[in-house]
Amino acid sequence: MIESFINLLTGGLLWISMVGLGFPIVKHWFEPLNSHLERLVLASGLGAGVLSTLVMGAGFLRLLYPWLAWLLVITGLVTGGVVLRKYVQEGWLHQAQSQGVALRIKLMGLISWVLGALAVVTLSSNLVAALAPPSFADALHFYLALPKLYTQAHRAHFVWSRGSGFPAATEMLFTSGLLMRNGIVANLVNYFFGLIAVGGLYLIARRHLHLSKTFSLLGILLYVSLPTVTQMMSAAKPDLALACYAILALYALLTWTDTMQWRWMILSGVFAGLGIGSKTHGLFVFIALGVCLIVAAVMRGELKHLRRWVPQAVLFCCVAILVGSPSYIRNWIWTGNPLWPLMSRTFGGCCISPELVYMLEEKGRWPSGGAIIILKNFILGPWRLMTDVKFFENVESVATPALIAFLPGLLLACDAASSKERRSTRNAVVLLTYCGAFYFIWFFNRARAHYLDPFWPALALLSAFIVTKLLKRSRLVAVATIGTLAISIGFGLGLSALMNAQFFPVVFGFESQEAHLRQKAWYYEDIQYVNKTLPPDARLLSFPNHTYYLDVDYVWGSIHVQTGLIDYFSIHSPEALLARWKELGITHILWDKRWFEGMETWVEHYGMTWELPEQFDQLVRERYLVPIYEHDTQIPTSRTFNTWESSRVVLYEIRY
Amino acid sequence: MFNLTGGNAREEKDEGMTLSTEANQGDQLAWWLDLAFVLWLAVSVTLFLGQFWPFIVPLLKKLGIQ
Repeated sequence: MIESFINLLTGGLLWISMVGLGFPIVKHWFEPLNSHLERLVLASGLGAGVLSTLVMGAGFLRLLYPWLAWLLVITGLVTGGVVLRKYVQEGWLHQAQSQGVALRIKLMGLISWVLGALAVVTLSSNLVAALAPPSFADALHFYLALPKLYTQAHRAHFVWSRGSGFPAATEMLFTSGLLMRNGIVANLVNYFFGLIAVGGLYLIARRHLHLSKTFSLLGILLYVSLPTVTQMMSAAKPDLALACYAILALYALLTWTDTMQWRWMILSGVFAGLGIGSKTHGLFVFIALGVCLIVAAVMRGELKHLRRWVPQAVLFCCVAILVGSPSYIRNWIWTGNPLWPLMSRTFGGCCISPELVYMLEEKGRWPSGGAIIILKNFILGPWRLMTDVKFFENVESVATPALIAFLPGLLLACDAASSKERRSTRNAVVLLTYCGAFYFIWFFNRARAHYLDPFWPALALLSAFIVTKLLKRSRLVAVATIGTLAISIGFGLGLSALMNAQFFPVVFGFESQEAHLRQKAWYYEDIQYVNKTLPPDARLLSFPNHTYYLDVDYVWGSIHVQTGLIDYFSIHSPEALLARWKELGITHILWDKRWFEGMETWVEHYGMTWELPEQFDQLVRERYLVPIYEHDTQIPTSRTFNTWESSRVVLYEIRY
Repeated sequence: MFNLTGGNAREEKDEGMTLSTEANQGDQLAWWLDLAFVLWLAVSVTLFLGQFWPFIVPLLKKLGIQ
């Protein structure tokens, strides 16, 4: 319990320092703003970008030490404090309150209170989940495993893992959390992005869709009641950061369409760039925003004023590419390919085996999930996201009916009479364009549901907007709309509660971290055995990929992750395999039946052949590989529903 | 002049009837659109919940309800 409190305090300081780093930018370039919420949200998003860039720079300068992380936090607190003092001196705070648009939510009637209370309860329970020790598979696999290696080496460096090429803006914030305290602080970074996204939603709903506070809260509740949001808010993954930057970029873009001021276009480009720097899918967001830009300009009649509009659009693209570029320049320096490990045939570069290039590019789709890319699936995709949960992924990726089923209601909602209503309808069309463009690019790239994270917030807002129109139609439609909302929100919140309940005992001290992680984290028991048993000079080849909790020196073994450090396809004898291991200084191997069989499935899927299984068996028979630990482990396939898959894990010592 | 006025009056009356008929047709169309949308919502929600039936049945059995 005290531990959780200290983690929360540390995460809180990190949050405040991000806001503090963003405040000077907002103060100098974006005042006057309408509300404190707007100041806070924009400063948070910009501050997160500034901090991630500074940590990345520190990584290249070999300065990744705890003192540096704390120095940056203190800098953020000081700059934030100085700017806040200026705000107070200039009367901004007083002025905003007197205009009645302050952050505080006034008495808005029972429905608003209920909606607000439900959102607060859900966000609070997500916070509890974020305070549990990290156990989300992808975080253990990439997003915390790599930052841990960086903190151990005190620098950002190339690692033989696919994850090494992922855009690292958010990963650098996780690194900061690890330097300050532990992986829980890294979880809290992601939770912070969830809160900023919610703030951004509220701003768009109020300013650009002209929704009342009640319907703005409804939009927020539709978003936070999505199971995927619950899952992402408690896990160290960059998806929520991308969603947050996407919604802030949309806010800035819509504000630009209102004001036609350069600064808003630049801000939209900055947030789009931060999205590109957080996850490769940020490129999808960038393209979708570009389409929105054209649609918004057409709807405003701006195409007649190309001289005014085109330079701003070009500026948007340049700023986004510039802000998003550090991770890609890093990849280019490390490997010669800015998009490594993707598009190696186009850009060339090193550090990737020809077989992996073939897997990534020739077949186009990895065998681990995602819908088959055919026109029928494209057209029926939204419907299946709602009614066929396993089609695109798993239960956490389900879209509640309020998000998809209300969409045709937009046609019934085209009754804009006043100019204000016309403006909000125009902005709703821009949001719809964004959703459509993103869905199109997403589907024809790799249609896995969890890549849709930047799509849901805009869709939730659209739903709230459509609901306002539907409730004005007949009583029959109003009743059906309210019923659909109740079922959607009830289902989402119920599932979220179920997903979060598993973390309460460990956060409030009723369960030890060890006991919790043994149940929830992949291979935790085996990894703890390795940590305790292996001598300090040992080097492990790990076939299980989820290595965040490993404390020994290691390299990844499976072809899912390592990109050619050991090119199994060009090794044709057990002796050659042994020689390669010796060359790399490997002394032990953590072998896992499940991942080993998984690799064989991949090799078959791509129609390739390899000799690794036979070579490995032969080395075991001839006692070059001596088992020193064997364990039937249970791998949690769903933490929420306590479903498991069994696997055999063996630790081998290599006798050269 | 009289006839002209009368003619105008008839024309106005006809126009009013036309508008009224158009309004009725508009109402009917809106009613059918509303009904179609409500049915769409009902089907969507039913199929959405239906996909979780295999999860719900064991839960109900566990609780002794089925």
